[in-house]
Amino acid sequence: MTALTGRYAAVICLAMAAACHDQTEADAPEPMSESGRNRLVWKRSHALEADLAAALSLPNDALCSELGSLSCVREVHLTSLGGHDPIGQGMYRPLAAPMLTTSLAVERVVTSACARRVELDATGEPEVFDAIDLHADAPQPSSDAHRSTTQTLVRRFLGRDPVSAEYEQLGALVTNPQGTPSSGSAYALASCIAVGTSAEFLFF
Amino acid sequence: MACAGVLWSATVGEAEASPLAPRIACAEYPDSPLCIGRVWTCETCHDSTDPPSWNPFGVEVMLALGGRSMEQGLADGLGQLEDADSDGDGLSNLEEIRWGTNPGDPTSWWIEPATPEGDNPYYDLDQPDVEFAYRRAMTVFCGYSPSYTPRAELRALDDSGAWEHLHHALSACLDSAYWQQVGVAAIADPLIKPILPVGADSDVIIAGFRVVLGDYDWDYRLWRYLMTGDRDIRELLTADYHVIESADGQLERIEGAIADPVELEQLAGGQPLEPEHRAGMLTTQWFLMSNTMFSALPRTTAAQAYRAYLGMDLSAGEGVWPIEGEPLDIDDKGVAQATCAQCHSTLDPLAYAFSYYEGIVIPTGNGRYRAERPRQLMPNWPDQDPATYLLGQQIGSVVEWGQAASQTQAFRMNMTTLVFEHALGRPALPDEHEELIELADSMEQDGHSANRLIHRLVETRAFAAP
Repeated sequence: MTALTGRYAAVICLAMAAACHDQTEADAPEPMSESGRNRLVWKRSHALEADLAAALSLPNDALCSELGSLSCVREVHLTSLGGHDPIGQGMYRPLAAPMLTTSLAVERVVTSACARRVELDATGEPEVFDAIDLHADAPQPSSDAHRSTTQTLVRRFLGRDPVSAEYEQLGALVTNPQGTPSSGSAYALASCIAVGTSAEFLFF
Repeated sequence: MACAGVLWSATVGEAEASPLAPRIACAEYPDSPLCIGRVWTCETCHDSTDPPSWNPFGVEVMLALGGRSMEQGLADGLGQLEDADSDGDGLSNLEEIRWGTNPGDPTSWWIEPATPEGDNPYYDLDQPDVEFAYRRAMTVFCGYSPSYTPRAELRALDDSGAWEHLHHALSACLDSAYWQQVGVAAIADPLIKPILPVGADSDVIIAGFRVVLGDYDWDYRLWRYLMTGDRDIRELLTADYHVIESADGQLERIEGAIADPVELEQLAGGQPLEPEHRAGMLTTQWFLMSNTMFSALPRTTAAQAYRAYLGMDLSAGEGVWPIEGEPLDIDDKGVAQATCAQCHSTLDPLAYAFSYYEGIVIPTGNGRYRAERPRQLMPNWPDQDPATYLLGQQIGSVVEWGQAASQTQAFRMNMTTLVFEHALGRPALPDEHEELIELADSMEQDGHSANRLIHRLVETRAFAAP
């Protein structure tokens, strides 16, 4: 083949390691056999929008919009997110691979959706972050509230149960970069973004 | 136009057009991925065909010919070079021909992925893994990933039951509004190539008329109809009917000529072509209008038909299949010059039959059939119609063009490739060519159904192996 790309090399091991057949809360995986195939598929705009909306129980229209009217996924960042517009833009094929702005667009869309979910859960009946008090401090990493929140996010975004390493990694988000306790809402937002921008969510 | 097989003659440095090389090479290596449903491209031997220059493999081929013509010496010359590594990429020329990589391009190579060692508790690496395939199938063909509960239900099944569950879910996806209205339509975008300002939704108004030169929605509906519901996709090139869509999204056949709408102050947008002159996607008003436009000899139309439905892009040096005595240069464009003739000896005889179909006619008449059109537009058109050829087969009309094309391995490979690339977002890799070819071959026993092709695809290593 021409110019074998290593574009996905960095993410494939992460995705392979994290994706789990086991329904139990597995231990952190031991060194294991890794795929040498390097052939993950990029989750493009339509599926990204659908999955993000489903994971956070939001209608598609509640996801990021530019100036409150233009959909980030379907219009503003359509090309970056792997979509194409044959009629409006005369773009007959989507990009073959992610571009430099793809990660920025993904972060914007995921961050916006997570912030929206946190806001809704903080001001109304919570649908996702129902195990923590979003107006109080973040839960302790050893708490049931943290475990429940992690499990909820991993199940909703990745369709499986977390492994123990993921409880630990998301547990680090109960403090902010300065080492002081985060608020419940900041912890929820950071956890949501972390799982929603994981390689496993974005590639399949 | 650039073209394959330009030949150094016995005198090195003198270029001679001989676009026979691709077919001769494929006669020697019929099982090579470079030859299944296609023939070698120009770039196998050439860096450029105009002016001609050769890559390392092409140079060695020329030397191996030793002054013989392509017909006389190419097969022998290729045999002499099988063990050599002309481009120095570590693979012999024969290995590259077998993998389908370019033996003259050092950046085109292949090594098989490392075999995983040890255990992976989560996935069956390097072989079809049903949960991996399930997630992929749902994401590609339903438009969303399976959530926690259905994945848990799948895991609870044994392998056989899980695959059965996957196919059941896949069938639902293929019947869903997403696939039938969005997913499958996206595959057709580069084939139909819609242009908003001259389509049915045009808001461009000239002299009181909307500049609707065709309505590509007819094309999309016919495509969507035939690519779903277990229908025979060969009718993409043979259908003499069109398709309408009800308010609830149901697609239904409609027979007979459909007049251009006049009540909307538009110039075109129907399907007025008589059914006896129809060849599915090749003769919609949009296809003829947007490709032929004002051309007397619709080369672009034939080339797009060849590219879109047989997977061979002549402008990229693909599918060169010259016909002796061609091109006739029937419209006096100078295409008989040696440089042009390399490709026009394939393209012009591919296009003659399309000359009877109008492109754009002002004010009305787009895409109509008119028997006298070639002679009116091309004074050199002979009394006896020039013969149209597709892949070396003489055919008498565009209707026959579509019928012949729909029966070819090239069509099956192209349609399989379109679905494969839509699903995986990339071309098949060398170690996937065998599966791709098997998929294409399976279409004959599966009634040429795209749905059944997809059900087979999701079980391949290419799709299902992590």
